[in-house]
Amino acid sequence: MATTKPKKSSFIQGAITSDFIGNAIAKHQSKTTIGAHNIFLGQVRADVIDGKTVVAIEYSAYEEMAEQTFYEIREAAFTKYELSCLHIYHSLGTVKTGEICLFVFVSAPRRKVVYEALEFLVEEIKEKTAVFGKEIMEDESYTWKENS
Amino acid sequence: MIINIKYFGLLADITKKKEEQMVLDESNFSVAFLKSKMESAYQELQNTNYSVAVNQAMVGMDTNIKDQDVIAFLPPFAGG
Repeated sequence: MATTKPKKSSFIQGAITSDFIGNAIAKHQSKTTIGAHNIFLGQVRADVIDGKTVVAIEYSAYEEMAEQTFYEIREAAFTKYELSCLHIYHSLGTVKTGEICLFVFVSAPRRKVVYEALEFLVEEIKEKTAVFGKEIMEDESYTWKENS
Repeated sequence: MIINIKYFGLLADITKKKEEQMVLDESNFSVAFLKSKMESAYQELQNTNYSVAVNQAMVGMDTNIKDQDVIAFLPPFAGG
């Protein structure tokens, strides 16, 4: 039997709460080499599609593959930028409009690198991660979301 | 040979299943061959934009599929 700790999952069931985000920030107070954090929060938008308004997105994923992709994106960011740490969290299941579905958090000793690293991470996540979104309308019909 | 196929998002709606196991007489074939086979089984796939992963890696149409491979049919990504 493997005794190594299982890799931490990037997926969270349901919306990412402001408590969770606040706690993630607080956990970094002991890391005093950090001088700058940057945070991206993806929020579910109430798009209007064919006259119907989106009320929620139900996220699903090819989880094993997506976790591996998150890992590779994380490694690529650490190679490319001088970061102290970084965290990626993505929702699975239902997230209502106005709620947070993606939380990317980068930290570094100095500020310049965190702007670039965050953009790199978010774009890579959107392009490469096997996550799927069912946009649920007010009348309970749905359509499959596609990243533009 | 035996392969396992997984369907996600819209593709699971079309096939009405999340996964299936297929037993094939052929022992060596490409993703393109499997794709055409699946598109005749599930005709709606013909008008659908999707990509294919073999053992969790995105692959091109000429990639060869081996016994026990896990194939995933993936619709466009929508994370974030």
